[in-house]
Formats: sequence, structure tokens, C-alpha cells
Amino acid sequence: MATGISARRSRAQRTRPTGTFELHAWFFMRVTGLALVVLALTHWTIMHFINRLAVENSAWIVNRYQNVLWPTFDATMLLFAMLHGTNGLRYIIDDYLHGRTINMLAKGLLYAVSAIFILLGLITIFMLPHTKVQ
Amino acid sequence: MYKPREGQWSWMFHRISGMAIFFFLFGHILSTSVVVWGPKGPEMHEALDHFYRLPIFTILFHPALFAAVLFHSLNGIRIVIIDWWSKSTKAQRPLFYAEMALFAALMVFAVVKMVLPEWQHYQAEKAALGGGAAQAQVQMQGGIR
Repeated sequence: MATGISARRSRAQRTRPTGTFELHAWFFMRVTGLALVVLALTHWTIMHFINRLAVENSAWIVNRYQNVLWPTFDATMLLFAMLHGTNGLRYIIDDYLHGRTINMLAKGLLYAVSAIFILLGLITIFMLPHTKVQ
Repeated sequence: MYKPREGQWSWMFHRISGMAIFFFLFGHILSTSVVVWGPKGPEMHEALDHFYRLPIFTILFHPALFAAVLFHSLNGIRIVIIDWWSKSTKAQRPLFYAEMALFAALMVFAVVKMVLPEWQHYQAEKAALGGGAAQAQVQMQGGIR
């Protein structure tokens, strides 16, 4: 039993990057995490506490994006949240998927899907101020 | 039997709330992107806006999502404090209860600020529809059930 667990652990660890990557990942999670507390809770306060959903139609969000502060704010939040979440899910995959192939497949899928959604989010943010409503 | 204590509960909720927020983000990015999908985009986005104003979102989903974000934020701050200030390790349990108290207080604030106005909006809408329409609505809900 004990050898079974350690054998599985070592197999998963072999797929992990070596060197200072994990230390940097740990630091990255702390810094982006603290930034996201401010960014996400500010976003929530504006969208749900200060303004009502009823007023937040397409015209409202396009108008809000005319001030360059908000595309910048949202792009920062998008990048931080997606990278923080991707790395968080990478930890979870390493904790539960020990097989070499399944571990690599899961992470490959995670990175591909994350990249697509980061791109989709950035395209939306850059196109939104120029969108014509009505 | 093994009983998890505060530290393990917070670790488990941190994982669950983190995954929930991450998966929500995919849906959030996708549904916001609809507004730039060509000339019909804003119109399609408007339709989604109405969909997201259903009680299942404003009364159930939004407070649940806020609870996940709030817990993950507060617990994350506790993790950072314990990581970067070694003396606080001894106080990790009181820190957890302080976090839970703050969580509860902010959840009450969120419900009052966010859910209550939506609830009042539905009540006003129901009253405006008049008795007959409200009756039909109740029957419709009964039919779905």
C-alpha cells in the first residue's frame, strides 16, 4: 500500500518541471491572488452593488468602455484570473491524475482551452469600444 | 473515523470554490464575447441579458457565485498571511474563525444589496401583471414542476 502510493507519486513528479519554476509559480499565485481580490471585488461592486443588472445593456457596456481605464482594468483581470485558474487546475491535475499519459493529456487540454479563452476575452475587450449598438 | 478539522475544510472549500470560479469564467467570457459577434451581436447580447435576469440567476446563482469569490478571496488572504508571517501560523485557527465571521457579514451585505432589490423587482412585476396573470404564472410553474 505505502509503496503503491509512493510509486504513483514519483511517476507524477517526473512529469513536473524542475528548477525554480514551482517557486515562481507559488509566488505568482500569491501576487495575482492578492491583485484579484481587489480587481474581482471592484468589478463585482460596480456590476452588482452600485449598478443594477437592468441598466447594464449593450449600450451601457460599450459606453463604459469609452474610458480606457475599463478595458485596461478588464484585460488585467482577465489575464490574472485565467493564469491563476489555469495554474490552480494544474495543481489539482497533478494531485489526482497520476498516470503519465492522462496527466499530460489533461494538462494539454487545459492549456489549449485556457489559451483560446484568453484570446477570445482579449479580442472582445479590444473590439467592444468600437462596437456599434443599434 | 478520521475527522477533518478547520484547516482541511478550508483547503477543500478553497479548491471547490477555485474550480467553480474558473469554470464560470469560461461561460462569462463566452457570453460577454457575443456582443462583438458581428452587427447582430449587441441584439443577441440583449437577449442573453434578459435570460440572466431570471430568478434562477439573480436569486440563486449570483449569491452562490459571490459566496465562492468571497470565500476564495478571504481564505487566499489568510493563506498569504500564514505564508509570509511565520508567527501567524500559531493563530491559524482563530484566523479561520475571523475569516468566517467576515464572510458571513459580507454575505449578509451582498444579499441585502444584490438579491433583495431583484426580489422586490419580481414582486412589483407580479403585482403589475395583476391577479389573473399572476395566477396563470403560478399555474405555469406548477405545470413545470
